[in-house]
Amino acid sequence: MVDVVKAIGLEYICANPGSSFRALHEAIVNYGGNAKPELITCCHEESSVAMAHGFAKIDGRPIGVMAHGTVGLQHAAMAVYNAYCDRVPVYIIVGNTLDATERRPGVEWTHSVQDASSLVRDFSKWDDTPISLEHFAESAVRAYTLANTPPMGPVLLVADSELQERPVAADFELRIPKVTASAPPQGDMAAVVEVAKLLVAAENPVIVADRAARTPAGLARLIELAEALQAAVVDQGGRMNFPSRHPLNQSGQSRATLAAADVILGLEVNDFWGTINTYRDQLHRSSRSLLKPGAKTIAISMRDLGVKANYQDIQRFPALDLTITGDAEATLPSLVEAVKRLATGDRRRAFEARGKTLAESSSNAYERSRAEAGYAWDASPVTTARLSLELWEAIRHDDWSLVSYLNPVSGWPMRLWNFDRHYQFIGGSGGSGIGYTAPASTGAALANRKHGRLTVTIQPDGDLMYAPGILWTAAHHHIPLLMVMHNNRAYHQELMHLQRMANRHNRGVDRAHIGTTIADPNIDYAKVAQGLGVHGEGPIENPADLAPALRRAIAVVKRGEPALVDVVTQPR
Amino acid sequence: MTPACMLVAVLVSSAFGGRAALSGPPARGPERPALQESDVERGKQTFMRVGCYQCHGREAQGASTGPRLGPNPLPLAAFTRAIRTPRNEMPPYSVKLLSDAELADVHAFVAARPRPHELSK
Repeated sequence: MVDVVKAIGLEYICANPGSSFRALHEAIVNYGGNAKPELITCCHEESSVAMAHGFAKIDGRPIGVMAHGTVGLQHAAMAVYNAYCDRVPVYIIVGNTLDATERRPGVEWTHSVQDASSLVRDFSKWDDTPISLEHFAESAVRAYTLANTPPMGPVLLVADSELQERPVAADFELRIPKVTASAPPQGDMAAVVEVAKLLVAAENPVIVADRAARTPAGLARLIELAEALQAAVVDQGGRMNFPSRHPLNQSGQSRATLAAADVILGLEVNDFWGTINTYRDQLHRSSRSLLKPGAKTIAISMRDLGVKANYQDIQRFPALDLTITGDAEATLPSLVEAVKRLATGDRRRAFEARGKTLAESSSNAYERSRAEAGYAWDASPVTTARLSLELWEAIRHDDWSLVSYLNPVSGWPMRLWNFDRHYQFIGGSGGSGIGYTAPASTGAALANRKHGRLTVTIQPDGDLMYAPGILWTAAHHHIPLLMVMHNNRAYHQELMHLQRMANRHNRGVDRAHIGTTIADPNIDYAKVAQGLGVHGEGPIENPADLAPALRRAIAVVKRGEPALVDVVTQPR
Repeated sequence: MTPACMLVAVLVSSAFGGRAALSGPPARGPERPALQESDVERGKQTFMRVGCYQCHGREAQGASTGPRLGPNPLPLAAFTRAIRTPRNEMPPYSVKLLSDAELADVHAFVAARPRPHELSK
């Protein structure tokens, strides 16, 4: 089994130890030399999977996870769902003892199951339960290929404990199939040409990108398409799709941009309906289309090939004018070529004029953001704008990678920083399952380590408290990560929901903090970090103290260790 | 510790983008009406008590969850309408939850917010 895992090329395996995979664990560290894969010790299976999730989004390749087929996978389930919703490959090996006559009495029975993968089958891409080593080898390679083929997703392989532990005959020779990458499918060429015609003829085409740029090439191709058309781009942030300061980037004024569009092209857009409609969450819920009459909507996406029935991450049906089922990144070269071929001199002159208007709009939006960031600059708790700008000032001259989702800090970094490389941003959790950010950031930092990048995460407090043991994992494995706490001492999103309910019911908000805040006592995250072997600074309440603390913490990270800076912040 | 007073809904796709302005550029110079310190202080306490800060920030500076309110808020009548009968996702504040006098104090508080720090280029 270790030979198979090595042949696949898993660089790491994240695991909380479990007896159902004890033989595989022992063989990895001894027979395999604990190198490629190297064991990463995690304190919770949700952390193991989320680490793999973050790693894959930086590296482009999955790493492994080992877990009990029962209690371990139950712990891991939320993180599996996040990876599934985020279309990220994670390679999970679960231990189990199928043969009831071979189980040890007691706990091995409670840790065994007839069909281990069934727990997460609704939100994983594929699984198998091999009953021979040949079967294991073939399914292991198949699982790896399927995980990496768009729409990507988590896969599971059950490693039966008997299969792990049973001696192998001296003359047994295991055939391991070769691993071949599967080329992602392009959209139908005739349909792509139709899209190109619509885009070239449009007065105000808008490109909306969500999980579009799977690789650095996707970022480059999207720039090429936008520049060929001088079209507005709205980056919804599922991946690092488009440079934040590109003159065609209109993400800061997405609603007005979409309302003016006559053609909207969505690239791997997760929620197209929500993109082109406004929704009002009041007592009487209502929605309104953002589109102007006659506007054409087009999707290029692998979404329809990854649909399952039970879990509703599919979002509301958008009723588009044209849907192309194909991988957006793989389809972009053909689309760019068709656009360039169809663009006449007249159209190019129109594109140029449009580009100038968009550049001015983008520049104005940036200046507005800078002006807004100055409000409450000296406030305590620290504003999320100041936190973001102090952090930017501290890292901007390094080769940095920001690996946290930005909604909790009002999106300030994307509005103010200069993102222009694929690894500088990796999007969010996918399933919005809290507890993702800390371990996914640690996994992303592990992937960045070999490149010498300075990995930074803006860490929500509630998220860290799901499984703070990930800090120990970062310290133990010398994973350089700068964790800057966005410590607003609340599950703030939920607090706002309580607020809405209380006022709708005309009861007032006096008790909305019950069950939604993380105060009394306040958590001292610097001490939590220090107790888990991580350099800790803070709590910082005076914004003037932030820059020096960041400098000290970055010095630690540059020595190859994790560091945490606890910043007491405004709610959003 | 209590929330409230959210003037605009949770952000849809663009931070601060495409919403009606509830405040403009900072007021400048002597034309700014004098504010009573006691009103401002009471307004601050109400702003915190009914939870306006949860969406708009403790200094009413705005966030993705609610726009900046000061230092140049809408005129009091329009400000009141926006709070009593919001057109967006903001929770409505009835007179029972926030009296007219309290609302006026909140208006005084947000009007008294300092001008922004000018960021160096």
